[in-house]
Amino acid sequence: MPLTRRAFLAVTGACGAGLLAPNWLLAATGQSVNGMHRGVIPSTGESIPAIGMGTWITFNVGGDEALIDQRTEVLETFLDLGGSVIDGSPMYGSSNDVIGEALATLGAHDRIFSATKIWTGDGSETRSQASTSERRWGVQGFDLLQVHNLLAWREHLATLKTMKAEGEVRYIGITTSHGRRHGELAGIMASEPLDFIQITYNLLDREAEDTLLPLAQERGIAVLVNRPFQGGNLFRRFESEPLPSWAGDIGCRNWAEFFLKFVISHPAVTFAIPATSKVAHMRENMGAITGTLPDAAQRQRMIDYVARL
Amino acid sequence: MFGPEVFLRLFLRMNQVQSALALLGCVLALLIPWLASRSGTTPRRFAIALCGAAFVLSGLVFLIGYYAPINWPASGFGWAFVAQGAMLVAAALAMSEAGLPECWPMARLLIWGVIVAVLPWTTAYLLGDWRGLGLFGLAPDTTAAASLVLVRGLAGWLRWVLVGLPLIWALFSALTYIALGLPLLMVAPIATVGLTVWALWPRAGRN
Repeated sequence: MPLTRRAFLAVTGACGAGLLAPNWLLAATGQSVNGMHRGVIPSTGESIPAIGMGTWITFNVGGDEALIDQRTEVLETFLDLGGSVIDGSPMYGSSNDVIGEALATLGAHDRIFSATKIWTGDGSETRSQASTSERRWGVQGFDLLQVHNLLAWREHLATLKTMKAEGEVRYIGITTSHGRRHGELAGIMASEPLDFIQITYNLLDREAEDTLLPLAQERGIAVLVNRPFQGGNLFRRFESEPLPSWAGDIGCRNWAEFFLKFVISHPAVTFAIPATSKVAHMRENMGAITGTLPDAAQRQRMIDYVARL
Repeated sequence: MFGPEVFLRLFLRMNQVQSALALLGCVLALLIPWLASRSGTTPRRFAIALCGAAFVLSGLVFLIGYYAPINWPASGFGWAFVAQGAMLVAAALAMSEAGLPECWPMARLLIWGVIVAVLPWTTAYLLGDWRGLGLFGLAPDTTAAASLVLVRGLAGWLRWVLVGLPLIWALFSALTYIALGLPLLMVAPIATVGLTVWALWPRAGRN
């Protein structure tokens, strides 16, 4: 039977859909797209590279021009290697100003997913502080505004919801760290329309697995992870030890990739925001954005390995 | 919070940019003990006033100008240093002759010399650059610690008032250095606590 044009087009279309479907499906579940791991924000379906950049301590360099130049190189490396999310806060001293200077030097304002926090006990200062941060970053509005460490969260969240409805911000969220106030945060997640939470989660600090991560999945809330290296403590404890012989199976060439892949391989995690002041370390961090991710069994193996060290 | 490198570079940057003030700090460190050991009342009043000037400089230049941008409590401490300096200047002008400290004995000169000569090197050593010296009149640790040598010679309630800020600063510094993981810098706050006890210790013939 001769091949009709209709049949040819149907077969070709089916083959094309079959080739494209894995990427589309993987994107929906927050996995690898074009070789780069991306997290999917459940409220919109937007996907973001799974490794971002924190700025706590690392970008607080005041008016030190030599260090500002050096941090600009770190940011440039981050962006060139596919990074997008930058997370800051007014609590981080001069970090907001240094981020702004670095972005201006690189002309990179349109290359980032900008996230900062509202950090004031005065519930009426939400917009004012957001505006100040916009000025310091040199951006016209943030992608994500978060209430920092639940400080005056009721007042700030109410204003943030209004700001989001008015188009002044794309996403809103709440942060905590060091495993603090998880119970209170869970209550907020269950009752408020959050796009994001930011929590501490790493190989040693896994309390979030009990309640917050499953709740985030259930409620369709994106998870931004801080302290993926426990503030550098994971390196101090384990860097002198050898990687496990099976590290290559999960695409890990160094401890930074080992720690970060553990974090971003959790199905509830959208992206992690490690902080660094060194270009070489940024390169290592961004290495986690490609290659194999551990599955559930391999994640347990990672936990067991460091527990024995 | 900030990193150790950022903190240590504050001293390098300040000494480089404010080199004239750094030199002034060195001059004050030499002039104050010289004046304080003179027999006349006017030189000894000048010693107290110049110590006040050192506090004002340290508060305005280092604490408010350099440190506060990375550590916001430093701004409050900066103004506290300015207030301490103003208090010392006012005391120098208003103090009765009987209230002036006696001429510094050799022991007090030596203690002052050790403080202003040794403490500045802790930051320079950690930075690996002599230009990072924490000089008297600019670095708050050295300024606060050295001032206690002068306080030792004062009498009455003024002694108790003037030890308050150095002691609180020493506590703040200690906590900061622990957080930064710079144990060598603990020399200054520990010395300040010891000097505070010494400054308040009852002296024979004077309360």
